[in-house]
Amino acid sequence: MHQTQKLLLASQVLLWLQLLLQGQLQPLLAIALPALMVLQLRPPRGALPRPWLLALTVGLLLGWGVSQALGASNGLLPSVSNLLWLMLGLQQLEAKRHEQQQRSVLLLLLGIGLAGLGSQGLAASLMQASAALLALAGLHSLESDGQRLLASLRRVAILVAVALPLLVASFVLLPRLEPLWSLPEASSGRSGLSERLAPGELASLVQDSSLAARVSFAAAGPPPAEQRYWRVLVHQRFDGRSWSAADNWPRPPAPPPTTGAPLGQRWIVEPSKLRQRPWDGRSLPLAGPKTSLQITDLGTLESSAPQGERQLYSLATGARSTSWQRLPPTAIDLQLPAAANPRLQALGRQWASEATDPEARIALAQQWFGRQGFAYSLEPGQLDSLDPLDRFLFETRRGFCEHYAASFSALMRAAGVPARVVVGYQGGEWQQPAGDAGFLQLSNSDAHAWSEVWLPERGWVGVDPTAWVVPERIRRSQRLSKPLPGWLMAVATEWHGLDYRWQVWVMGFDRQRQLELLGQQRWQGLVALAAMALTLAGGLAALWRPWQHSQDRARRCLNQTLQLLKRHGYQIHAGEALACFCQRVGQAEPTLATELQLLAAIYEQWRFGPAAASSGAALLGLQASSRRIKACLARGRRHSA
Amino acid sequence: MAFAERPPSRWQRWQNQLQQRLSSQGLELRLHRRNLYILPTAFGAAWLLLIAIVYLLGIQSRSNGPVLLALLMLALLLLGPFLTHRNLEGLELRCLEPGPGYADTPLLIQLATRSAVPRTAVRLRWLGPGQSQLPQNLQQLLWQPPGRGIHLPGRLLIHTTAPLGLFRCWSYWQPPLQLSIAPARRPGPVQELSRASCHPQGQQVSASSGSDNFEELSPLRPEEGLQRVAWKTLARGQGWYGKRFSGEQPSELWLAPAPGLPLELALEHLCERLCRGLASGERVGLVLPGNVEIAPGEGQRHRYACLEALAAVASQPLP
Repeated sequence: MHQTQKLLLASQVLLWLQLLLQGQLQPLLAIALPALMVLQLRPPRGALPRPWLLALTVGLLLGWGVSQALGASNGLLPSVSNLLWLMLGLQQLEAKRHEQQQRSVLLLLLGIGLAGLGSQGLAASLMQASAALLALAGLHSLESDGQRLLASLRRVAILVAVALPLLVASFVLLPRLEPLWSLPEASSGRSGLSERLAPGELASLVQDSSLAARVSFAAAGPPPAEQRYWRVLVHQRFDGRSWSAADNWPRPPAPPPTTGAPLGQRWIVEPSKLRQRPWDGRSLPLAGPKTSLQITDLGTLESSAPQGERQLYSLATGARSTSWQRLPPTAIDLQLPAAANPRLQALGRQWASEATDPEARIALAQQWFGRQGFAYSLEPGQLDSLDPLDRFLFETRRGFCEHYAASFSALMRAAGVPARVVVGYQGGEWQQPAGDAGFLQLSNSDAHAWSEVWLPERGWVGVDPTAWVVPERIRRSQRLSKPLPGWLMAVATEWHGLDYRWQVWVMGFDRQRQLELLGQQRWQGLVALAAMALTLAGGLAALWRPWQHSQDRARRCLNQTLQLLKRHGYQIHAGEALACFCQRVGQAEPTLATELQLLAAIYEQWRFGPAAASSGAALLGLQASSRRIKACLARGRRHSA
Repeated sequence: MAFAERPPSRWQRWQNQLQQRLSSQGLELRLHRRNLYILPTAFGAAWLLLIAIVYLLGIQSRSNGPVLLALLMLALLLLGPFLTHRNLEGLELRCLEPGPGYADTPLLIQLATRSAVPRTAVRLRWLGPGQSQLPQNLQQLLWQPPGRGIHLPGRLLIHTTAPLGLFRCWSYWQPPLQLSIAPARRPGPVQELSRASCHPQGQQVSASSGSDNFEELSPLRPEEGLQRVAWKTLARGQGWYGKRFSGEQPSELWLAPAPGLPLELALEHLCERLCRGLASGERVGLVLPGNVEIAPGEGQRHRYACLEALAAVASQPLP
C-alpha cells in the first residue's frame, strides 16, 4: 500500500470515529464506511474490479436513498453530509492515480468541514484537526514521491505550525461575514425539554447526560443551590392529562436593549428546537448585534435566532427584570377540566374550604405531600387511565418532577389558586478548572419541572413540590448519577474547562466578539491584511532560517573570532589560508600564538578531517578556543590601556 | 538536416522567439528569480474553490470549525508559492558533455548538481517529440536520439509542484550541447580493406599491447576490458591492474561501409563491427564516404573520434 493511501486511510478512520462518537452518522454509513476502509486495505484480488466497484457504488447509493426515504436523517444538511461521507469512502477506494488521489484529498477536507458543522466540542475539533493533518500529510507524500510516512507527517506538522500564526491573524482580524442567506431550519434538537408535559405517558425517564447549556458568572462562585432554577418554558394549558403552553399568547413589544450594564452571566446553549432560552428570571439580556432576546409576559426568554444552533448570550447583573412576576393571572391560569381527576378536584376544594389564604393552602398541600408517603422514582410506570393525576396522587405515589409539578399545579387550581407549570433546568454541575473562574454545566438530565402560583401580595412565586418529597435532590444540586473516582473527576473537570474555553473563545468567536475585541474600526480590513502579510513573512523566515542554512555552527564560531581579530587590526586576506593567517597574527601577538594555532588545527580537523572529527566535542573545543582568544584580547587591551 | 517544408508562420516564429527568450542558455544553469516561472495548478484552483465552499458553510451555519479549516487551507495556499519557488531557487545545474551515443539507445547525459538545501521532487523532462517516457533525475538525464546525426537536444523543462501541489514552478533550459549520435549497432556485412590499399603512408607503429608475452602490470584503464585484468593482484586486494603484453604488432584493420547496401544500413553494420573490434583490442580505422579517413588506433579517444565521424557522415554522399 502506498504511503499516501495509508495516510488518507488513517485520516478517514479518524473522521469516521469522530462522526460515530458525535452520532452524526446514519446507521448505514456507520457500517458501510469501515467496510469500505477494509476493502481499501485489502482489496480482493489485488484491486477491486470495475464491475464490482460499480455495483458497490450503486448499492450503497440505493441504500442511502432508501434510508432517506425511511427518515433516517433529519434535515437537508445531515443527509447531504452523509452522502458526501459515503462518496468519500467510495472515491478513496478507486483512487490510484495522482489526480484521483488529489481529488480524494479535497473530498476528505470537505468531509472534515462538514463534520465541523455538526460538532464543535474540543474533542471533536481535535479529531477533525488530526484528520485534516493526516489528509495534508497524504497530499504532501503524494507530491514528494518516495518520502517516508513519518517524514511527510513531520514536514506537514512544520508547515501547519508555520501557517498557524497566519491562521490566527486571519481568524481574529478578518471581518467576519454574517450568513448570506438563511438556511432551512433543522428540525432536530437535543435539549431534554419538550413543549408538552404529560406525566404518566412515560413509563421511565432515560437519563440523558449530554450537555444542554453552560453558564459562567461574573460574581465569584456559583449561586446557592436554592437559586439554581433556570426557567425555559411555562405551561398554562391543562387538559386533564397534559400541560402545554398556551397558544397565541400576545407578544409584548421588544424592550429597549440594555447596554452598559455590568455583565452578570454568560450562557452557551447547545442546539435546541425551542425558541426559549434558559435564564434565571431576574437578569436582563444584554444587547448584541446577533442576539435579539426578549422577555415575555410569562417570564420566558425568547430568541429570534435560528433554531438548531448553538447560541451565546449575556445577561446583565443587578438589573431586576421582574415585571412578568407582577402580571396578574388570567382565566387560563385557573382552568381545570371538570370531568378529569375528580379525587384531585375534591382534595383541592377541601383545602379551599379549610383555608382562605393562598399561602395557607400551599402549606396544607405541603403537609399533605409529606404525609402520604410519596417516593421519587425515575421509573414510575405508565399511568394509563383517564385520570392519570388521580392515579398518581392516590394510588402509585411514585414519580419524578413532572408528576409532582403537574399534580401540584392542578391541585392549586382546584383550590382556587392560579397556578402553572414551569419547565427548565435545576442545579447543574459546578466545574472549576485550574486558572478559570468556573462555570455551571447543565446537562439534559438536569431538566426539571416545578410550579408557579399567584400570591396577590408577591406575584408569581415558584414552588417546587419535588423538593418536599426529595429535598436532597435540590440541596445537593447534583444529578442522580454515579460519581466518578476522584482523580478521574479532576481530569474530567479540567477537560470540561478546556472544552468550555474552546467553545467560548474559539467556536463562539463571532462578529459580536470580534467587535468587542477590536472595537469599531474603520481600518480593520487593512490591519488584517497587514497582520497576515507580517505573519506570512515571519512564518517563511522561521521556515527557511537563512542564517542557519548558509553557515554551520563551526563556521559561525570561526567567523565571530575572525570579526574580533579584525577589530584588533588583523584581517584575513583574500586567498589566505586559515593556518597562515593564524601564524601571521601569532607572530604579531605572541600571547595568542598557541591559542590561534589550536583554533586553526581544530577548525581544519572539523572541516576536512574524517567524519569522527567533526563531532560535538570538536565544536565545543572550537568554541572554548574562541572564548580564550577573546579573553586574551580583552586582557591585552586592558594592559595597553 | 531536413528543412521545414513551409516557412514558419508568424505565430510559430513569435512562439519560437518567446521560447528562446524564456529558456536559459549555457552549459551551466543557476535557477533564480529571473528564470523561474510559477503559476497555480488546476489542483490549486480546485483548492481555492474548496476554501470558498468550506468558508461559506462555516459562515452560513455560524460554525467556526469549517471557518478555521478554510483559513488553514488559505494560509497554506498563501505559503504555497513561496515554498514551491524556494524548492527550485538557488539550484545549480551543470551539464557534463557526454560522449557519442548510439541511435538505438537513450544517451546518458551526466548532470552536476549543487544545492545548499535539500530539494524534494524536482522533475525534469525534455521538451520534444518522443522524449516524455524517459525517467530523468537531477543526477543524469536520458535523451532519446531521433536517429543518427549531430543533434541539439532541445529544451529541458525543470519543474516542481512540491510541497502540496498547489503551485507549479518551472524553468526552461537549453544546454548548448552538440550530441553526436552514431548509427545503431546492427551486425552485418562490412567492407574490410587491405592495409595496402588504403594505408598509403604505411606507418609503423612501435609495438605494444600485443597479447603474446607478459611484460608488466600497470593500472587498469577502463577501455581495456576485463580480459586483461590481473585477477590475482585484485584478489590480493592490491587494486585493479591490467596485464601488459609485448608481442607482434596487432593487425590493423580498415573498415568501410559495405558497398551495395543502403548507406544507413551499411553504416549500422560498420558501427557494430567497429565497436566489436575495439572491444576486442583490435586496431581499427575507418574509411567513410566523403573522403573521411580515420587511422587505426585504440582507446577511448579513438573510439569517440570514430563514432563522431560515423555520426557526421552526410546522408547523401557528397558529389
